[in-house]
Amino acid sequence: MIDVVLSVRQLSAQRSRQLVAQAVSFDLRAGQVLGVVGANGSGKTTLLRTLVGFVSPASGEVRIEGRLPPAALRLTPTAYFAGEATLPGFVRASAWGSLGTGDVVMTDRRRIRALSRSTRQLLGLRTALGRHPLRLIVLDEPWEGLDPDATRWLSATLETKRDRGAAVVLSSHRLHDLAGVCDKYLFLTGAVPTLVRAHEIARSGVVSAEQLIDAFDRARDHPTTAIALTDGQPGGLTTLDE
Amino acid sequence: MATLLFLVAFFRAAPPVTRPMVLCLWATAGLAGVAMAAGLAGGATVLTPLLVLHIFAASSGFGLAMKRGHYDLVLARGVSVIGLMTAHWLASIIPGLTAWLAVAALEPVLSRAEPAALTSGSVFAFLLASSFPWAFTTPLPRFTAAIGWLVLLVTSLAIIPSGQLHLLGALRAPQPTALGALAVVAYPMGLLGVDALHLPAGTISPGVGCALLSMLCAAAWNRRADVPLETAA
Repeated sequence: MIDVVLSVRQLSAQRSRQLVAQAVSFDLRAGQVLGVVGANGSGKTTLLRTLVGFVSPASGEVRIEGRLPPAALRLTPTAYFAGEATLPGFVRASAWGSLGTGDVVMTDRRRIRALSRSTRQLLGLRTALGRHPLRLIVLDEPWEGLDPDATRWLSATLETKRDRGAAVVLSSHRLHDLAGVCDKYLFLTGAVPTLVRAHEIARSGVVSAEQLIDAFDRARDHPTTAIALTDGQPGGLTTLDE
Repeated sequence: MATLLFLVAFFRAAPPVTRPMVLCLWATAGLAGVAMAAGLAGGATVLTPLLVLHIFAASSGFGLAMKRGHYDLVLARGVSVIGLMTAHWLASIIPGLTAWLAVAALEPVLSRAEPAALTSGSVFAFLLASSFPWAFTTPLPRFTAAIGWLVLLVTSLAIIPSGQLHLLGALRAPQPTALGALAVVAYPMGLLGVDALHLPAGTISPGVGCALLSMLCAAAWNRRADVPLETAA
């Protein structure tokens, strides 16, 4: 299907020959947002790097608009950012910021290591998200360290990019960050992650933080069973993968 | 073309050779010019410090920076690891190359000695100094290959009586020897100003072959290696 931007089939991701996620399958269409939720060390970063082809999958397949990464990234405009710790500290902030589109996103000429954590994170995000148009956005813990203004900017930017047809993958270990933002959630709670659609957690499709925490706890406590609705409606069990 | 321009912009913003190292290379080239103009030195003598600095500059540590995520922005544009690696190698040797070419341009004007920077021996020495250190430092921290080479060379010269003369003698001997072939790699300064095309093929070829092989090994290692994230502490 043409509007499927990211297609994942039976993917197993590995870190140092250790499997961190197995048998992950989902499709992400243009305008959809997937939230990857898991504790620190659960394999969120490895999974996200596998999605964009920086890490080879142990098995299974990822396709970006029908093509295999990393070659697919040449044809599908993609933004990937894994946090301020990945920025080279010796580079001047203004020079790094201009790498997105050539436009200046930050006039500060100090070296990146001299900036505050929040400013570094914002610089990395603005540089990665600066390209137009974007078809796929993969952000690893994007809210980490951001101040309130930057958080609002990120939310507004992601909404705009999504509305313009980008598929978005976001990860966080803080469930509050992802509540209400995503169409699907991937809980990295065990060897086989649990995939849940937002409307399976809340009938309205808008998931509150409490509902997300509850669904995550259920997935962690009963990894092989389904997630019940928690919004007061009669709770039918749902399928977990697509 | 857009990818090439982006790579140029990227390595201008995030050069693999540090600014102090670039300044050192240019200062050395400037001092070489002064020494040649004053008649204090010329030929291979002024090129030796430049070659040593270039070995340090080329030991720029590609793999570690990649695993720290410094090149995620480039990889996310679909640039292959081999393409990124090639761009990194070029960006690592360009400061040394420009300083070298500056000395080559000054030599005919300022030096009373025979110009040495563009002889075949000097070109071989520069290529060896551009390839081995970069390739060996690929999975290691910056400067590791240069420091290792320096330690080995200094130790060898210290424990072998008349070590430098032995290496130079073997290097320039009319018949190829194992020591001569080793000297090409261990003591590339011995090639500066020499017409290497008149040296026995058995002396030069093993060194050149090893240099090419080291680059191919680095390419193969980078190509098959994943890029997991290993952020700096």
